[in-house]
Amino acid sequence: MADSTPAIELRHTTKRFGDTVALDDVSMVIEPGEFFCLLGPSGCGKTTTLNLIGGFIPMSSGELLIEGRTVTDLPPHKRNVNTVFQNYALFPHMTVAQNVAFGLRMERLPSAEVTRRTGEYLDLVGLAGLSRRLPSEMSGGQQQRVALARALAKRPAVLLLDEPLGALDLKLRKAMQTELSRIHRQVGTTFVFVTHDQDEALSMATRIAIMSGGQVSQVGTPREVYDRPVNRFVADFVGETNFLPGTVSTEGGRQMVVLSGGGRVAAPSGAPEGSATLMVRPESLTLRSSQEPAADACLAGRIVNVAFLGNHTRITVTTSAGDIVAIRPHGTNARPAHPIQELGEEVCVWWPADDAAIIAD
Amino acid sequence: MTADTASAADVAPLAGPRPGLRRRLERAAPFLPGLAMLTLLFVIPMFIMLAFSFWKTNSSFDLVRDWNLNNYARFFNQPTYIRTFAKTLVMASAVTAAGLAISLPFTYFLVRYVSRRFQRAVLLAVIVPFWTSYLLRVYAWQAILGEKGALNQFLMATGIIQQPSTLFVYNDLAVFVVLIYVYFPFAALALYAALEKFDFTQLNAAQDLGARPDQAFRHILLPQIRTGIITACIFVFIPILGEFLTPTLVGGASGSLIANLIVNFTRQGQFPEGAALAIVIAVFVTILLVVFRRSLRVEDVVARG
Amino acid sequence: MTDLMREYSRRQFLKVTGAASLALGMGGIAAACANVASSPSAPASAAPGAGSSSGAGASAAAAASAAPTGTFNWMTWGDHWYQAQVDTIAANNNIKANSTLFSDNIDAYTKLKQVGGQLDMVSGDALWVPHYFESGLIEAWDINSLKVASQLYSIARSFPIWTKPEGYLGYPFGWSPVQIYYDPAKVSPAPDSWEVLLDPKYKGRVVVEDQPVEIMAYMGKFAGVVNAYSMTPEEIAKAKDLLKQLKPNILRLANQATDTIAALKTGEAWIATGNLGTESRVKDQGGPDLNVFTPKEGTIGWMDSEMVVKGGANENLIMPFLELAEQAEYIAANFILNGRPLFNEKAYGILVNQGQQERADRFLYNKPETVQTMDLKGPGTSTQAVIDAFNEVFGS
Repeated sequence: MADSTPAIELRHTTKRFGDTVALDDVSMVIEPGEFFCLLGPSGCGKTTTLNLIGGFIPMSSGELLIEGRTVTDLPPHKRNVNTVFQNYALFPHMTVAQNVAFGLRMERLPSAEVTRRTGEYLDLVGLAGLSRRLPSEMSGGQQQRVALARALAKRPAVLLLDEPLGALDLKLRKAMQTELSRIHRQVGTTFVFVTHDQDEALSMATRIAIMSGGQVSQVGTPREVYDRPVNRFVADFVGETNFLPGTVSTEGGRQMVVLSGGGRVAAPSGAPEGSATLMVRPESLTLRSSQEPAADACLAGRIVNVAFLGNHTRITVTTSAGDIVAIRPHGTNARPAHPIQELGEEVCVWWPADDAAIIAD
Repeated sequence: MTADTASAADVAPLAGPRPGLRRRLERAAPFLPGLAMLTLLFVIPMFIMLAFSFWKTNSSFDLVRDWNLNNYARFFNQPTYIRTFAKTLVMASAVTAAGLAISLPFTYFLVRYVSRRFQRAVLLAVIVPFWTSYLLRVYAWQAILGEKGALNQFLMATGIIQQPSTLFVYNDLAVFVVLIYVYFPFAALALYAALEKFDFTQLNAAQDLGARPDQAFRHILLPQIRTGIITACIFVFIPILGEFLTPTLVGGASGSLIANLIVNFTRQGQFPEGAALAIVIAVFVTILLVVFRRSLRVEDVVARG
Repeated sequence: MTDLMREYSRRQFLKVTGAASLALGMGGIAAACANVASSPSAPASAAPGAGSSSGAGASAAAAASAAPTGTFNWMTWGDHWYQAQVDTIAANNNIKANSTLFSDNIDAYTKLKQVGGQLDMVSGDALWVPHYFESGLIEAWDINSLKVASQLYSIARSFPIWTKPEGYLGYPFGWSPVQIYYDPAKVSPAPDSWEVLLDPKYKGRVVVEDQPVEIMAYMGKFAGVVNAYSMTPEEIAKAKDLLKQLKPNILRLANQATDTIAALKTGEAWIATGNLGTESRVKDQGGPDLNVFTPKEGTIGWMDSEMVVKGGANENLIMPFLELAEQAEYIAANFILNGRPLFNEKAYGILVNQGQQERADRFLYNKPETVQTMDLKGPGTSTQAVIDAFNEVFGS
């Protein structure tokens, strides 16, 4: 089967602002129909990447192809890309319908078509009856949907979204995340989404690019990025992780990790010898009572903090290797076998050896 | 006892004519100072002028309370007044248009591309000329536009002309140029106020949606700074209808505007005659404002932001 | 907005407007006070002596003999006095002159009508003086009761237009005809008539004052009118036609004499109308040598005097002041400063002794009878019609 043309391809893109290097030799391929997420902390270059794709700022060097066509020097309105801006940038002097129709008018579409499409996309985002309203008369969530409809009505190859959910409150944000996913599935356009919220990225994206300091750390599906982070930064940024520095050595035919602060635990299979950092997610940990006989090596510690977070409890255990965080789910997923731990209790932290990973620094 | 007081308390705040009147007076109170000033400084003088316009001056330069319409008839019967007024309207419109054409790019650049700190400095530079006398500033233009002035010297130095030209001063062109200079700050400040409130990311969005820069300007920016433009027009057009100093100083023999004709009367003590002409202009301006009141939408100018 | 918030902003508004109107009110009061201050210690010094005076020098003479002191209010042209003169009189005799300026007679006339007794002495031209008297604004008094009046040319003490049964109407000061100045290097042959102003050769090279009544008067003189300030409709029509010919020649209408002089100095203007002494002032500023002539058709001119305001609060100070200020030494110094002929004959002698005779003669100082050939300035009866004609020509 022939390779389909990527929706977006960035080749060796660099962007400098004066002396600052915002993007350092970044290359990226985004396939058609993806919900691609650019994730990273402030200043990592994700918004710069978005603006470069959109054509709002020029590249210092590199190439950009959209649907196989080089668009590096084209202005925004000549690329087949539309953007949903962070502050929505709705036109306050136009009604909702006029806002959505604006791009279509600029394309010189016949007015019947403009009307039809405007109605179609307002329906799509769930604002059917509100076409005559002014943006100032709508809530934040509704405004966001207008911005979405306005951009999608142009049927672009790629839709860029610049932290669009940032201004919404938590509940609304979660609702909009579901909405966005639904809309994406329905229209099939490639979405490129910028966010600093890793929950958002994990829940909506088909693939995520984690960025830091102007470079891409890892690109992969949410699961890949979560389960197999390539470096400490990614592991730390996506979800919560415990890091335990130590040395891998073989003892009696089994690989063990001798932790820096003392204590030994089983090493994951195939761990290279030598000094390394062990990473293990909180949900992989089991807290055993210290009185229990230990069949496998586990890490002794004392509970110093117990935080009730609704559907789970977050337990901080201080050990010789540092503080470790464990998660204890409630409800149906709780493991009734283990007793509820109390603050100050002495426990032994254990995890299946392969649930951990050796992380490069 | 308790029943009585309870019912009184229920009824007291809203019922009865006296509490209502007092309430209305209370609400009107804040407007009284403004109303008083307006009446004293504007309404009463205008009415005095209106009364004057129906009287005459006798040859002893005394005011004769002889009610007549002769002064108004003068405006309509002697063609020079209508012609000069028409010329003044044209001049005012031209200066307004040119002023907008210059201030808009200037202010746009200032708001969009200049850092906040320097914006203040530039605005100060625009306002500083107001601290010098109007007369002095216009005199300065004589020095620039005159036969031996800076402009002629520049043109001769660069070889564009061989002889100094008398084309630039003591004519309508000089009045036009100087009026643009004098009224530029009004236009610039009004536009600045409007542009400052404008969200420039909308222009990005418009371009993203396929608008060319000129289309984005026309469909997105212009409608939203409409109030600024209208304010600028009002503050430039209307005062020019009363301009006589600049035409006197740089207009030469042919640059007279309607206010010059009025001043010719009032300077010789012919107040009723001058008043009538001035009232005609005031009525015209009022009619303009009434006809265009929809597009002015005062509540926009006042309440926005 | 809840009622609470509405209340609060109303209070704020009240405070703000209250403060603003208070400030404005104070400002207004301050401005009014500054204005009234031009008759400052008026109530204080005036109390006993002032009141209404029934004409004549009786009260004036009585006041003079009592050596009064104080400040009086003088509305005049800026060249009727100079600072050292006023300072000396104030220092030596304690009579201070508080001067306000005006630009032309109609200005002063209307102002005097409004403020009346707040002014004590007003300067005025020629036929305006009797007009002031007929309007009941000034006193008539015996000019020979002033010792300094003997220094005047005798003709100045007996101008018919200033003589009334009740007395003389003003203390004569100076005079000048309107003349035409031209740059002989640019204008030839040497002109002698008003016609040179209209000559198409000098398009855009003429400067005249921005005074509609005066300009029409010039055209009237050219047309042979006898009384240029009281023209008949036919005369006005003739003047208007001439004005139409003048208009293209005008470079600019000068707001003040300094504008005329500036235009002549730079050479932008070759011909101008002005009072005596204009060519000296141009030369002083480094301008070209100009020639001057009085048009053969006749010209207009002014002669001015100091008038005593009727019911002035400080009337008792006027005669003593005149006795001092009109002394020949001061007048001679004034001539040297400002260069136009004055009516003080003794001052001419001083000027001759100082070696200024040539200049004085050039300015016709010793020929005060020239005023009888001038069409004298005055309110006239055709002001309004003349302005209409002027507007017709100079409007669009």
